[in-house]
Amino acid sequence: MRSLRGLDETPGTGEDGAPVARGRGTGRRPRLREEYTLAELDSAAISGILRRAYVDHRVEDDMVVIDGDFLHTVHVDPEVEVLRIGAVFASRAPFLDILAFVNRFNREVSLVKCYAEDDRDVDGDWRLVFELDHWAAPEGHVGAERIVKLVRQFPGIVHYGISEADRDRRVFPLAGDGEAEGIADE
Amino acid sequence: MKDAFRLQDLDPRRLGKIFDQAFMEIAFDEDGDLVVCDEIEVLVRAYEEQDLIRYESSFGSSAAHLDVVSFINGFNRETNMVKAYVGEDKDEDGDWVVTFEYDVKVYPKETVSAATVVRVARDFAGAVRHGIAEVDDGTVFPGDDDA
Repeated sequence: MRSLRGLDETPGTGEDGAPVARGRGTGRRPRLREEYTLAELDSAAISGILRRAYVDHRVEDDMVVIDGDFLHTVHVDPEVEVLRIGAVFASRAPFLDILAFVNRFNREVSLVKCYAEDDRDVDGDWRLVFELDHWAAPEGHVGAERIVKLVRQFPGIVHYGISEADRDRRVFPLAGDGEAEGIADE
Repeated sequence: MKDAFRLQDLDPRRLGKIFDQAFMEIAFDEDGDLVVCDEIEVLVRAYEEQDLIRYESSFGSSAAHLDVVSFINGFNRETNMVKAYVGEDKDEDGDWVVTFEYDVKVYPKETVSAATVVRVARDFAGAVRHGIAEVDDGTVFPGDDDA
């Protein structure tokens, strides 16, 4: 596994990635690697980047899980060369309402896409998936700052899209009251 | 020509030069925006206020609305990166307008290379064609000429 220099192992860096004072004359802040290839961005590397940015998270099944306004995940899909931030919400609305919601959401917001899974889950709910794909292939690398910014922006975009696309609350009747919460297992 | 651009530098004319240098056919629509004519026509536009470059293609479909929104959901499920949606109203020909879109975020302090601008356009076009072929059984876009 790639060494997380500057994130975990550089002398003078604390657990949270912040520099630790080492006395006068030696206080140069350790340089962090700013660019990562997708191959380098395993869950440990993503976790290190988020830790440095004070984004609370945990690592589960090779995915970084963020339990903020709602659960969302960050991982790299090497097959299609994307860094993907995703969340899954459940809804009991009729499928036709869900299809209409999906279309409105995709029309209203930038960056994030939405779709419904084909089949209901074990609870009988439809699963709505929200994804932000950052395609890394053209540049060949992704910046740490970009990852943090996208992770921070994702919940706001999803919230905004839901509020705009589900104004009559047919899909998420209790949105804002805890109903529209991400599901961790995607 | 320089190779790293800030978003505010990417007006339609500058974008056009980038694609022209990559030997791709270009045109400008009635709003002055750049259209890249590759596998399909792709509108490429930088939105400074939203910090992004948007790649966009639209096609008309005379299919029933339910078939179109079912296709939209299937496309978004099966295709990476690119998303699809249908407009609220039919166009003047009585068709639903299906739009495919991919946004590249370019934060204020960042630059984007000419190579990225061109490669994303090429791969966007490929993803749209592939996604349609994968998801549509000919109901929404009956023939190649329609999409």
